[in-house]
Amino acid sequence: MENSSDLLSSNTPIITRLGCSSLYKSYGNVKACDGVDISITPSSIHAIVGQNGAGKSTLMKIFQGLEQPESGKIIINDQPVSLKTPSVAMTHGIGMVHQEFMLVPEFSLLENLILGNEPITSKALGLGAVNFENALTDAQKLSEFLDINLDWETPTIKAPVHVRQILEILKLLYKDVDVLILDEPTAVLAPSQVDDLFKLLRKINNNGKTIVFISHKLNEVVELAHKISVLRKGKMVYESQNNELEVNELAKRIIGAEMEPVIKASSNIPIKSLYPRLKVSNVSAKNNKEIQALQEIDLEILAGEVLGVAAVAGNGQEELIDCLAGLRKIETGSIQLDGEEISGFSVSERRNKGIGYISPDRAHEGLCLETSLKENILAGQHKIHQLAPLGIINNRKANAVVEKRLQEFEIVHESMNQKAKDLSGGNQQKLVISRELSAQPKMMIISQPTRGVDISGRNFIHQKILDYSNNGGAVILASEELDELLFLSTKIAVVYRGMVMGIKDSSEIDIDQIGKMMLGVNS
Amino acid sequence: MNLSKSIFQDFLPIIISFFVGALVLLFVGENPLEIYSLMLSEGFGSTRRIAATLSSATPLIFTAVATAICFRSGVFNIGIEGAFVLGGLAGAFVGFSIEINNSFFHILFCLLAGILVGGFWLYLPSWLRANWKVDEVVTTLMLNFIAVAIATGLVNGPLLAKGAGNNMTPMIHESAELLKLIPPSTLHSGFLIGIFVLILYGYFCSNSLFGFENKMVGLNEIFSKAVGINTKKIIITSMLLSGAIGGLGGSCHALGVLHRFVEGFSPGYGWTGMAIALISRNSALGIFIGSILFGALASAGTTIQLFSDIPLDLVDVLQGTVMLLATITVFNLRKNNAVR
Repeated sequence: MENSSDLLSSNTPIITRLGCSSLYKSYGNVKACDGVDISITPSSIHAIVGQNGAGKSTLMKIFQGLEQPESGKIIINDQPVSLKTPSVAMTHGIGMVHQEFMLVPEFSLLENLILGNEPITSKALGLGAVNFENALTDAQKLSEFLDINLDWETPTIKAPVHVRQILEILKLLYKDVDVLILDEPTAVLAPSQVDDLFKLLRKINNNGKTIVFISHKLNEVVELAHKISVLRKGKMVYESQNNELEVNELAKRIIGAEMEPVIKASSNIPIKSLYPRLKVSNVSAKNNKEIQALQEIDLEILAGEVLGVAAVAGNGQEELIDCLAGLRKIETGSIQLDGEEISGFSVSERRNKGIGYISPDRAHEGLCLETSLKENILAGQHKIHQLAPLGIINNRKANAVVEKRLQEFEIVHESMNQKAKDLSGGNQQKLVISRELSAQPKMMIISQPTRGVDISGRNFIHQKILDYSNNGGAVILASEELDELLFLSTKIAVVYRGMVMGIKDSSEIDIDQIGKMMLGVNS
Repeated sequence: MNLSKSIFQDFLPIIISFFVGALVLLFVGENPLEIYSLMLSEGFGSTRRIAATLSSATPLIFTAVATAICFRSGVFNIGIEGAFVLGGLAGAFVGFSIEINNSFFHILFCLLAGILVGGFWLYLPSWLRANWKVDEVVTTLMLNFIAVAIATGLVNGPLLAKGAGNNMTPMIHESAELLKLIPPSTLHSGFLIGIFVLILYGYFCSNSLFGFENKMVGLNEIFSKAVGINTKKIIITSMLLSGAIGGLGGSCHALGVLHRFVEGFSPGYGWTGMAIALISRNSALGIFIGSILFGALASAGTTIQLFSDIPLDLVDVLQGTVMLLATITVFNLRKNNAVR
C-alpha cells in the first residue's frame, strides 16, 4: 500500500492533483458543464456543492472516465490527460464511491474487498486459486491501520449501510487509489454515523490521500472540507478556503440569490376558512431505501391557501408528497382532510374524498404516454363523472367531457385519440392539470408543476393554480424553483432532513432566509 | 389510416413462418406451392373440411382470449394450459358422475365446474403477483406441470374408467354432450360458446370500465396507481377471468369432442393460444383470424400426411417459427412492464 503520488513526484511540488480547465459537456440543450475550472490540491479535502442539476455529478463522471467532455482539459498532476474509461482513471489513482453501492450482496466483506484484485496462489496458466489467507491478512492490516473494527467474514447483505460504505472506501484504498471521490456520502447515514465517517475520512486524508466530496449539506461541508467549490448551472461560481465568515455567502451562491425579486401572490385575496382543510400531524415515514425520510412533520393548510414546500432535493419533500397522495405508507402520525382521518385510505379513496395529485414524474406517473389523450383524461376520472354506469363507458358523454377539457386548457392537439407522447412537454403538463382539476377536488397536491414547461405554458399553469386557490381550493406545492414557490404560495414551509425548519408567511420571507434554511443553517 | 400496415405487421410472423416452411420443403425436395395449395384445400376445401378447421380452432379461441385478458393488463400469465386441462377434467367429472335428465342444466353445471376450477387454479399466482410481486411467469409455468400431474394421477387412479386400456375417465352421460353442429364432423356447439366469449371479450376491451382499467394497468402500472386505479384488484381479477375462460375451454373440449377426459388431453392448446394472443396483439378480430388459421394448420396437417410425403411435423415447423417470432413481442412487452 505505498503512496503512488510519491513515485510520481519530481523536483517541483505538484499544484493540481486533479482538475480541469474550460470543461464543457452538454446533454441535449442542457449545459451540464459550462466552462468549469477547478484545481484540487494534493492531500486536501475538497468539497463540491450545488443544487440538483448544477453539474456536480457530470463533472465527477468525467473525472472518473465515465463521460467524455466536449471540450476542455482534464489535468492530473499538472499534466493534461484524457480519461477514456474508468480503468484509465484508476491507473491515475482516481476512484469513486457512488451513491448506489457497487457490492455483491451475497459475498462476504472480504470477497467484496478483493473483487477484481484478488491475490492468487500461482500465476501460471491462470490456474491459481484465490489466496484468501493473504487477502485476510491484507484486509486486517488495512482495518487496523485505519482503526476500524470489521468482521471480514460477514455476508455483505447482513452488514449495515454504514459498514457497506466503509467497505466501498476500503475497496478503493485496497486498489491503491489516492484520490477518493465520494458522491453524497452522508445521504444514507444517521447523524452519529456521519461523525464516524468524517473521522475515517480525516484519518485517510492525514495519510496523504486526496478526498473530493460532493454534497448539498452545507453544515457537513463546512465541518470537513479544506476548500469548497460551488457549482451552479454548470458554472463554477464560487470558491472558498473554508473559514466561517463565508458560510452565509456560500448559501447565497448555491441558491443563486442574485435572482430578481419576484412578484408576490399576496395581491390575490383568497377565501379563507377557519378550519384547516388538511391537517398533517406528527407524520414520519421512510424512503425506498428504508431510511427515515420524514420526521414528525406538522402542517396545516386552509382552504384558499397555497402552502409551498421548499427543500433541496432529497430532504424528504418527495416522500411528503407521496404520503399525502397515498402512494407511501406513513409510520406514525395522522393526516386529516376536513377533520376526517385519511392516512389509511388508498389513492382511489383519497381521490373520491376530493384530493387531486400532480406528480413530479410526468412521463411515468402523471401520464400514460403510450395511450390517447382521451384515455389519459378519463383515467381515474370516470367514477367521479359517472361516465360508466353499470361498468360500461358511455363514449358519447366521455368524448364530450374530453373535448371540453382539451378546449378549456388550450391543449394544442390534432385529435383526442392521438397518443400523449406526441404532445409537447407543456401541453402534456396541461393535460395532467386539466384531468386533476376537472374532478373539482377540495385540495390539490402539486409537485414540480412546470418542470420542463416553456414560459407561456408556465404562466397558464400558474394562472390555473391561482384561480383554483382563489376559488377556495387548498394547495400544497413542492417545487425546486424558488421563484415559482414564492409567486404561488401564501405560506412557505422549509423542509430539511425530513423536518420542518420553519413555516413563514410568504409576504414576510426573504429568499436568502429560505436559502439558508434549505441548507440547514439556522437563521 | 395505418390499419393495413399494422395488420401486415401483426401477421408478419405468420408470413415469415410460411417462408421458412417453404425453405424446409424445398430442402427435402418438395414443391412448396403444391404442398401449400394442398393444405389450403384440406383446410377450407369443402364444408366438411371447414367444419374440421373450425372444430380445431375452438379450443384455441378460448385459450387465446384467456391469455389476451392477462397480457392486456401486463400480467404474463402462461398458466392457461393448466387451467384448460383441469377445467376439462372438472367438466368431464361432472359429466359422468352426476345424472341430470335436463341436458341444458347438465351442460351448464359441467361448464360451471370448468370455469370455477380454472379460475381457482390461477388464484394463488395472481395473489402472489399482486401482493408480493412474485413473478407470474415462473409460478404459472410451474403450475402447468402440477396441473398435468394432478390430472394424470386422477385418471390413473380414482377416476379411471373400469376396464379401460388407456388412462381415461368413463364416458360422460349423453345429456352432458355438446350438440354436434355438422355431423359427422366433430364441430360442436362449444364453437358457438367460444365465439360468444370472443365477442364479449371484444366488447369488454372497447367499452367496459374494467377493460379500460385493465388496459391502463398493462400500459403503465405506476400511472394507474397514481390516478387511483386499484391495480391489485385488476391484476387478480384479470387472472381469475383468464383461468375461468381457460377452464371453460377445457370443459367444452371434454363435452364436445372427447366426451371424457384422457391423459394427454391437451396437445398444447394453451401454448398455441398464447402465440395467437401475441401475434394478434390481444385484438378480438386478430384472435378470431389467428385461431382459424392455426385450426386450419392442425386439421390440414393431419390429412396432408395421407396425401403427400410430408409428415405432420411440417405444422410444428410453422408453429414453432411463429412462436419464435412472437417471442420478440413478448420481450418488448416485458421490457416495458418489468415487475416493479
